[in-house]
Amino acid sequence: MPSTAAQIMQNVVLPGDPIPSHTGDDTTIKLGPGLTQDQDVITSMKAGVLNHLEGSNRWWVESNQQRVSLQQPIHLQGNRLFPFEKWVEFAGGAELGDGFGQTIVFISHPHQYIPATGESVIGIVCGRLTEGFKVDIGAAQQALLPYLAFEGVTKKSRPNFLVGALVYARLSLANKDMEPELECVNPATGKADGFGELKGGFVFKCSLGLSRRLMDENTPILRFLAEQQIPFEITIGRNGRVWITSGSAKTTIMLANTLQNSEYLNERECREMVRKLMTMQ
Amino acid sequence: MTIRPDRRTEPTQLRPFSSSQNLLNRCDGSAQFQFDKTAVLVSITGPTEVKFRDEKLDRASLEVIVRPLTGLSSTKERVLESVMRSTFANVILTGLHPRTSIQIVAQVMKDDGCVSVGVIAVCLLVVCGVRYDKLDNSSAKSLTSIAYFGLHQVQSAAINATTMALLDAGIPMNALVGSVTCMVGKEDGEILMDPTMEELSRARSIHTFAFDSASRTSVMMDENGGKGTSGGVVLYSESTGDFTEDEYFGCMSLCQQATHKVHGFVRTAVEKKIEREYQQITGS
Repeated sequence: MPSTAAQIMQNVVLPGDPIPSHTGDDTTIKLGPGLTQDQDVITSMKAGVLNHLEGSNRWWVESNQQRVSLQQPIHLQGNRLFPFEKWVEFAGGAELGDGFGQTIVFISHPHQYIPATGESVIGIVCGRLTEGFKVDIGAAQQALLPYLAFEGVTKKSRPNFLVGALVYARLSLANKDMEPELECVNPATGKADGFGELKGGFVFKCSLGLSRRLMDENTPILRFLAEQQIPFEITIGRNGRVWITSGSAKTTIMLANTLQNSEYLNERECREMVRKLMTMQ
Repeated sequence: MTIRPDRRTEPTQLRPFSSSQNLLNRCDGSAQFQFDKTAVLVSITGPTEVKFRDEKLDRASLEVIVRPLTGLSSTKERVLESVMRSTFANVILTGLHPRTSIQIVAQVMKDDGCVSVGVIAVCLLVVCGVRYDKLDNSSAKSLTSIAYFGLHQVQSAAINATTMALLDAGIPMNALVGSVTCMVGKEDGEILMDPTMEELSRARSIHTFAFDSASRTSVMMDENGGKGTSGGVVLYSESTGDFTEDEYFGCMSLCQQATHKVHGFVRTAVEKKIEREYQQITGS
């Protein structure tokens, strides 16, 4: 993976740029976000930096960078435009594989959320239909949360959310052609596992990159806040929404501002900011 | 070689252009492109929710809105909207975002006075009790025709700004789009690239072309004896005035070469932006 500035600049690609094939004709190449195949030529669809894993045949374009640390690869479950199931082998038949569990770094779209299966999002209930709730997740379409997608629910004990309620749910179905569907239960265990209604607290919007980094254990800001021994509870949605609650409204707002400001700061500056806020309290 | 009014020495020389990216923070992408004194700011929002009547089942629907520098939008802006919609429908990969809408809003920020000069000229003539169609003085007529010639500059700037804004927003495309304007002089039939207002008063015809950046050999180039450049495909062409077929193809080939410079400029601008973003990660 390129890590120096010079190497990065060499690999900048723009839409329509053909990607030179570095490997022989026999090996297959897996195309990630930002790359598309037009007959025999692989071209880039976005403006960004062309990346591939060392010693691997996976290529992708990082675009609209949001300050991800290149030295520290990040483990991710699904990606923005192409869920793992859709990585296509270039030469030869298409093979669908799921979950590489490898180090993949990608960013696209800082603002507009594009749903991907398996991601956990914070939604706002907008209405009730016969089969479920209409939930706004910040995507192009509203999502459907079926009444029966909850733990331990029966036909008689359906959840009763009011319009405007906050829900933390998981995307069970998301593709470009259908409206997305949510569920409030972990499919593997059948238990709620934290999904469900979020009562009280405060939701703020952040960029998609920041919400992704907050879920990574290597991002230090949450650790710094926890070290200050402020009790708070936080829920991070991959759609750029973060819910936070603590003892008092003042603390909640301070924490929200801290998290929003930490987007463009490095570790040393984050530590400094948290220290200053503590002295102001 | 005669020196042009703004001290350019070559007829194929373009005026300096500049651009800014990511200016607006409430939309998904934005950029401003400036050809000397004509500047257009474009914002992109999308892919977002689409109105039911505009919904397309298999692709995103493109919505374009153009606002003029002054006054209310009129049919001229509608023309530019349809131009941009048809040009970019070929380039944006709308099939990746079905049943969504991508909205392009273009605001003219600077206009080098072509439109307003023309309007003032007509108003003065009306005040003096002179009827336009009874004028013998050709220069007075040419003042008002500049009003229409000047629109070409705005079209070029708008197309270039839209390309950069789409890159900023991360909307998938299959090529860049670059656009330049050129004119054919009245006396000598000389082709001048990127004309100024003064030069426009001596124009017999003015042409705007938009080419894409994909490097495939263009079939049209063979008719000109092959200048040797493997250029892009013509995405848009508009001509105003009297011209011959040879003049048209001459303008087209010169514009194609000039568009290479615009694509190169866009590439440099995007590289600089990426460099700055990476500096924040690796440098600080």
